[in-house]
Amino acid sequence: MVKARSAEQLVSDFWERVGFQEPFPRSLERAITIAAPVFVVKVHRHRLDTGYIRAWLRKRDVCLPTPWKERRLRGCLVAFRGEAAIFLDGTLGPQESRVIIAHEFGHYLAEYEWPRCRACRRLGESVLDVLDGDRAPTPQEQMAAVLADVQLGVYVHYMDRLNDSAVAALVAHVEGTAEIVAAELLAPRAAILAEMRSASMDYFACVRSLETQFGLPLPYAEWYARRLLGQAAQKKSFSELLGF
Amino acid sequence: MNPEDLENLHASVFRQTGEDPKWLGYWIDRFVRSENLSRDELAEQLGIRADALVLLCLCRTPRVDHFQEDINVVCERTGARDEAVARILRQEQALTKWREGRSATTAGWLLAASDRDDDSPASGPSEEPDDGQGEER
Repeated sequence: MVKARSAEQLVSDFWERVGFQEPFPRSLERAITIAAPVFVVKVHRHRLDTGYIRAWLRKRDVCLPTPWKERRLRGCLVAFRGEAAIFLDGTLGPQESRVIIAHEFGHYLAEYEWPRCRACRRLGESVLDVLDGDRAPTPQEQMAAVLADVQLGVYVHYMDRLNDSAVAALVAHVEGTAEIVAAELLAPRAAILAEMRSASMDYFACVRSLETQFGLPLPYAEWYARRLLGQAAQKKSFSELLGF
Repeated sequence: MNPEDLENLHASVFRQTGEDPKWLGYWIDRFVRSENLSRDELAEQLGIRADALVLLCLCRTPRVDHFQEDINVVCERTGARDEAVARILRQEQALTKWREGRSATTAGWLLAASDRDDDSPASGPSEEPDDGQGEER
């Protein structure tokens, strides 16, 4: 799981590109579309499932191989050749919608854009052909990748829900990363921790603040509050932990 | 200029800009076709009058490395909503690239999803209707 600091840096770099900080509660759509090669498709009149996404792309003459199990979705990220789409169940309320968009965009930042940029910086733009699956890496590129600590494996899909423990562990790791980046996009950790300390907020006050000020749905706010309180406690001195 | 001549001139602008990707009209033409929109519906999404679409089509396509800056200039000039213009470009430029990379495998793709757990699994794919209705911006 990517550390919180890395998520903060990813999100900080994103807002720097956007050029403004969206006020809270954030929807993110405008910032994402303007600052990243990503577009959002909200599906209102049909249910969002894997078949819908495949049909939507096929209608626009894009053939997407989809070996995954058919199922209903709240959101989905599709990324290829440097561009991405976020499909969103348009029947979700605004609180859940912002969390889903943030989560899928978190996948984009952490699992697609950042590794891609890093590989280009270290190995040159010719490596994009490898990342896009157009060709296999040359022996020289493989060696250079090892030396530069860059992974040249083509992207994978994280939509398998198989019983394979190795796959499940990878999916869980990736999903956890997206959750952390999403939380940082919607409710920046540093700002909330500062508010928690200055106002001596307890768990319930933190949850209320995350719901009302940052527009997070209750279960998500509860998860995030627990995480933040755990991190805040780690930074306390021994005296503070004792209540002095 | 009489209304008929004006209409013919507009039609010519739409046609010519729709053939060259250096004009915004090219991407707008593709978006209208893929979303099955009328010009009035498109203008409503963009927040402009239908007759202002001509001016938008005559704008240069924003540069990749100056995307936001160029979008701001376009929208300031035409009155169109920046998010809507950006969305059209992002979608159609992505679809253009994706059509180029046809592959029988998922090599190069990244796919991730948030499942919906409150319903039984899909019994079959739900096809998008031919009229393109189904999503809103």
